[in-house]
Amino acid sequence: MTTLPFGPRGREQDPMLARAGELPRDVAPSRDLWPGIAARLDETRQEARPRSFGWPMALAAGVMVASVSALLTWGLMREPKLAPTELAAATLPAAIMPVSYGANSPISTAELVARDELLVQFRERLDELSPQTRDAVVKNLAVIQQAADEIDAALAQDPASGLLNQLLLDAYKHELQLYSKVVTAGGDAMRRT
Amino acid sequence: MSIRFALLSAATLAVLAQAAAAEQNLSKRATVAADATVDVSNVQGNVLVTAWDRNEVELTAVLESDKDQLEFEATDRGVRIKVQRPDHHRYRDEEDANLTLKVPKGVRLMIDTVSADITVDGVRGEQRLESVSGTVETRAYDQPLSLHTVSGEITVAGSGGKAPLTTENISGATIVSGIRGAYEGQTVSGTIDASIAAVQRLDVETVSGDADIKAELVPGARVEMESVSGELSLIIKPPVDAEFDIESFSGDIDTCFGAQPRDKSKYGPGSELAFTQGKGGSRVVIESLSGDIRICDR
Amino acid sequence: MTDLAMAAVDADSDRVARACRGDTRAFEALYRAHVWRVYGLCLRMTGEPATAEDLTQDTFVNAWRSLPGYEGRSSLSTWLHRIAVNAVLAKRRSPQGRNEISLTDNDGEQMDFAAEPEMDEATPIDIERAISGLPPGARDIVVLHGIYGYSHEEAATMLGLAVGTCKAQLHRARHLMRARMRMETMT
Repeated sequence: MTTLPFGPRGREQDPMLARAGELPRDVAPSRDLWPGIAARLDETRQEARPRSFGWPMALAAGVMVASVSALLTWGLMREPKLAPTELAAATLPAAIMPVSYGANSPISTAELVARDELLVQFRERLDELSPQTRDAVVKNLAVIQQAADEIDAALAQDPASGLLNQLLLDAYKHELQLYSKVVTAGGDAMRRT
Repeated sequence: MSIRFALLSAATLAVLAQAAAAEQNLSKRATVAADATVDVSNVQGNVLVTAWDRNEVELTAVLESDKDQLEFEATDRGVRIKVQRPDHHRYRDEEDANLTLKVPKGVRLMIDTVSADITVDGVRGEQRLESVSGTVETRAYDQPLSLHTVSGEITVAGSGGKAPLTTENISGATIVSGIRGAYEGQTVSGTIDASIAAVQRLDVETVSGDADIKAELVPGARVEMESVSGELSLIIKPPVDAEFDIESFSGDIDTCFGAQPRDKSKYGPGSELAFTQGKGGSRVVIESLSGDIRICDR
Repeated sequence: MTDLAMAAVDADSDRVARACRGDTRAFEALYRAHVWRVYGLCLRMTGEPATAEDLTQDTFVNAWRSLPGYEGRSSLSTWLHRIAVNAVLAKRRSPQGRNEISLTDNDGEQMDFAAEPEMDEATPIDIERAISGLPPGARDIVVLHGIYGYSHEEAATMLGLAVGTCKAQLHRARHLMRARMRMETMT
């Protein structure tokens, strides 16, 4: 048996794979699937948690967001509110993106919306940090992203795993805590003069 | 003004630096209650706090920048100290502001810094120490400690007291020794090394950082450790009387207690290990995605 | 990228933005643009038209939920395929899925051609049938790498496997397909 290299070139050289590559990529289903999808989108919108994974974790997620919000509120009470113009001017450096939780995530859109509110404060504060600290924040955001990706891949294999759902929820918690830590860190020392 | 001091309406001293001198050497002193609150904020440099037996707060400040301003507000219930740096680009400056304090040993201590290191010794009251990138180092006694940094290191040397301890950072090492009772540690990529006696509650979470814990459990203790990809090691001082519930999605589980992990499912990866050692009574739960887990009694 | 492809990407971006704001019409347009490719993948991975249709619906519902997290780091088509692969794998792992779509023994070496699924009589004896007769692990990599052109790294990421495992599965798939084709020509 001949040994063929792998990769796209191998695909072209292997007659079997070359034939596979000629198959049509688009195949029409026997019926229009949209009505069934549209009905489920409505359900999704009405659900507080589209992919609920049990009330204990839902409760934990709610408590988590609430506690981070409380921490954030505490932090912000210790310093003057930012002027609306300053908030509007805040921009997130291109390299910094919030964590993406993938298709298997039990984290709902509603929870991600709550995160986005925290992100507004995070973006403003990040700009005030030293380059070294900002680097540390960016690197650790990447660490959380990698963790989320790994957990998501594992969830694809075992979507019902309590361990994996818990780990993903905790990755989300770490992300929120990272933002709130940047927002509140330094406290009075970071207060505008 | 910080809301903690909004109700403090007694004498206020504001010491404003004169622009002429390049370096400012300042000292302040105030008489306070033995359990007063001392609140310090600094941007860059260090904050060094030691305790003494007097009911006085003594501050020695060396401000390398002539633009920095020192605020010192005092009542009998508390002292508030703040270094103000008016320059908007203050974090690129190289001038340090070094604050050295002596405080009554029973004070409640609250310190916020940006890149200034925090070092505390001998303070018996509650401590809440926060820094963005500076290191945090303190000694624990019996009152709660809450230590937070973004990228700095955290070091706690206990004195055998029962101070509940919370540490939280994003990166950087956390080293804890000589405490008893309760510890809660979280990090993203930092490492956690902790040695804790008479544990009642232990809760350690990392994302990618390793955690290496040595613990002595009291009956009914509850231990939880969790990581995504970091390695988790728990060494329990004998005798070990605990129920163990260990699970990893793809990491190895290694124990010297004799019980062997088993596959969770024949359809996928994942192993778990549940057993009771000795008389049980305490509970140990350790979970990871891909991080290896090791538990032993030596 | 051709002008036509560029225009398609721009159209997708606009629809994604509108769908993120809750515009189901924009999302329906995305569905219309991509459903055949998603269904094609699901059908090849499962070999069951009815199951593939259900999974295609699951894929778009999951995509709707995850759309705010779509950052445009990959094309929408690739992103949808990732979701589809996850849906297929999740289904396969479920007790129901194991009964429904465990077509062949995934342990491979003991693969019994006599135990392979019933084929549609209308399907010609061809490469498509040879692929559908593969055990799931080998079939997945042939579908993703062979038909849809994903690299080993991309396919490994989608399947949650090591790259080496994907290569080994492809090696095994080629061996099994050749055997299958030889049998087809002998009968």
